[in-house]
Amino acid sequence: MTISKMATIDDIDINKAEGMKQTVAGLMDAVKVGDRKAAYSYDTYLRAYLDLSGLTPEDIKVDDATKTITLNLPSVQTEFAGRDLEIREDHYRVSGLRAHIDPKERAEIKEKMNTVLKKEVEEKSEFRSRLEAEGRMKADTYFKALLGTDGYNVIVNFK
Amino acid sequence: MKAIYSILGIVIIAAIGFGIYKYTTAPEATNVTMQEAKITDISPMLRLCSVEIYDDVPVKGSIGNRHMFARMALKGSISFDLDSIAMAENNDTISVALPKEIVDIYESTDANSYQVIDVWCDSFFGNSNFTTAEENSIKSKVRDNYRKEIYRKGYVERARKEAADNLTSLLKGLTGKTVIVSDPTPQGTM
Repeated sequence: MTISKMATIDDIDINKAEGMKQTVAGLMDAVKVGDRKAAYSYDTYLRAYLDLSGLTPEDIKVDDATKTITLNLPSVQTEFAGRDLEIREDHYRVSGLRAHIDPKERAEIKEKMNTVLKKEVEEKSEFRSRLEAEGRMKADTYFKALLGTDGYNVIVNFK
Repeated sequence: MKAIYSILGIVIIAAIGFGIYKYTTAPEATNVTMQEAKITDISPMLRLCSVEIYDDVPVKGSIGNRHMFARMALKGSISFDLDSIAMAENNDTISVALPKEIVDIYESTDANSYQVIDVWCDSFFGNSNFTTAEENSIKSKVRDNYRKEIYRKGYVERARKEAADNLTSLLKGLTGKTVIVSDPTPQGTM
């Protein structure tokens, strides 16, 4: 599963500032000469997996009388496979006397995006549940095709 | 008079203290706005993953008289597409040919996986900044070099051997038949 995350950089709007820190920062941005606006995005990969290392002979039951094979697989788990090394610069406009956005700042932005994205994935079950469902479906299709020869009916269960 | 000055002093100190308290407990000022994460693709594929790689690598790059140094935590895997595995069944024997390996190299999603340590320019008043495209090209070279390292260090060879062993036990355990896994390219192909 590919998850895209985007973040934008812009000056703080004094009208929307909350609290002293944001107001002070907004005031300082207002007196600076020029604009500093950018948008960055990158992809993170979430994958579903089955750990078959714990599969035992008891997990495979063959009933020759009813021509049924029952396979008990471990539950589908999900994990972060990683994220893209590169970051996409979707927009960049730095003018006047404003400082350019440098590699350190981009690395910090990516770190913030990573933290927020991981929290989003934890809090919104749709990411993992959708991937788990796809994983179960794929495993079900594969093992049924693999074992369903000679007229045997295959039942795939997940623990 | 002294009492008035004392009271005034206390009021001023209390006001400063209150101001510091309000400032430190106020919401952080940030110029970064996050958009909601979006699912852009779900590719249903079945892979046999035989080796996982974790490594910390230096990122060194120079463009002209500008240089940068960073560290990056890499996370990778060597896997095989089970859907493209050629399987032939003859009586009680299953013959399998191991396909080409899939080597994935990503930046880890652990905290602080990419840290820029230093960016500098040889000339004193020169611009030391790197654009996003320049930085991406440096990172891309790091990934390509690391991929070559994976092959050179024998990780792929080991992964192919483990995949063959895992596939043999898995198919034998599931089907009860004799399984022969052949590997046309034991050291992999880059």
